[in-house]
Amino acid sequence: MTAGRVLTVVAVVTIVVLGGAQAGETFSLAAKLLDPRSGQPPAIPSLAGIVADFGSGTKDFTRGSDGRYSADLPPAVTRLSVFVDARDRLAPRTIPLIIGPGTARSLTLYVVERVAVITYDYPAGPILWFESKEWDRALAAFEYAYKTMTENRVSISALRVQVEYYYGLALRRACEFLGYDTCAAAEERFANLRRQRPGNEKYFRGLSSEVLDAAATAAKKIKVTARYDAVVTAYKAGDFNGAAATAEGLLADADAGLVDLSGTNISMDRLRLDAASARARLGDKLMKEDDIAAAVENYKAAVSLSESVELLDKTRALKSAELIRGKLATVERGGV
Amino acid sequence: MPQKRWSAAVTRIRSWEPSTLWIVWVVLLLYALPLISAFGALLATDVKQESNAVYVVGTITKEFTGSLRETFGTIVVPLLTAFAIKSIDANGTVPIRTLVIFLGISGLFVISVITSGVLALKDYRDNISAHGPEIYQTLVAATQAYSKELLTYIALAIGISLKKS
Repeated sequence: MTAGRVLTVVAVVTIVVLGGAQAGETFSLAAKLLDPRSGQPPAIPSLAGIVADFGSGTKDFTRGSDGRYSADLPPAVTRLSVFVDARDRLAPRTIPLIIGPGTARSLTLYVVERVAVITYDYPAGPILWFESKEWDRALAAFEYAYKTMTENRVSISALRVQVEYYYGLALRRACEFLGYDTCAAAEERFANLRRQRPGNEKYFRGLSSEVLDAAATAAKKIKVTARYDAVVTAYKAGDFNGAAATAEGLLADADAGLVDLSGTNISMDRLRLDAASARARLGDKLMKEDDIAAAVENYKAAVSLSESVELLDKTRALKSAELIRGKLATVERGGV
Repeated sequence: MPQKRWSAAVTRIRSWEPSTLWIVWVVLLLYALPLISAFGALLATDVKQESNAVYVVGTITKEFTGSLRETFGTIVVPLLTAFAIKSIDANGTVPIRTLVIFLGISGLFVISVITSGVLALKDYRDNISAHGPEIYQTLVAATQAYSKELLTYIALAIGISLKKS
């Protein structure tokens, strides 16, 4: 009953983000394929290639002589799916990534070998990997197990509940620490378990309704806090455009009901203030670069955002708006 | 009082003169033990959870089908045919001993067929396979072998009992 008997990690794909998604620049990704045992690029015939899908198109990674896979993507890519097209004895994977400020610059992707049946001893190894914080390794294993059980229409059992729960946890950790766009998927796994629990309590060992609710709430929070962390990271790094765009994106999603800010310390006003501050700082930066038109656009956006603050620190927001309006008036009069 | 009861029991045992039918029953029970335990485990165990009973039955069945079944198969048939079944003609009544053996074997055959059917159910297939694919394959192979052999025994019992003496 050892985990190694049923699951073998065959290859590690390392993806290194070479460049940021600055406006007008090509976004480059490089992937390196390694055999975990030898540390050298292996000749695995069942791995057909790696493809990046960025919504408006796809791009194949080309394999270099050093074993790295690389691809140049269009500028300003914010989301992409990396598809590891494994065949035969290896299981394919799709990894959804959010590319933006604060995104991890290097990712390691594991590819697992197919097994005939997901057995009771299967989760032992992946749980160890999860506990030792090897998030992608655990995610790859649980993702494969869950998909296999779902495709085979395996009915509810103690094993399926365990696999789905740990798959949810791995998705949540990957969202939190690896920059994967998997928080919503994690939330869905916990919600699904919550739906199935009534009448099947005996299969949910130690997984009460409260535990599942807490796990779903944590995934929901992380979805927001991970994006807000990207705003802060970008701001601190001087990437005001990235910070403003990320904060505005989060605002738009919250406004549309796609993300729920309740239960987090982040409010709509907090996002408006942060976006306004980033726009104002970007305006200052553009003024120094003599890009007056772009600076004016950003100042106007900053004023609009500051004035839209409703509850939080409204006085400060209005003072800030007044200050930016002063800058704007100076610019429009022709002075700098 | 207890001493008297003991002595009475010992006397009863010493005066007991079992028929050859008892030997047949014991051998049949040993022969069918994996089948009966598999049948019992399937009925009594929730295979949707990891169960030690499934592992135990799987191991017993594997051992039995691997090395012992052939020997049992060659012992059980001669015992039934040579000692137990009385010959009758087509118009005669069936002796109770022959009838009991016939019903016993038929009962085991029914159990083997039911076990085969339960094992073919998707839920059981998935959940026993989750304990180990080899356990499921062993149980399926064993129950199918039992069904075939027991059918042969039923045919033999009928054939021998109806032969012209």
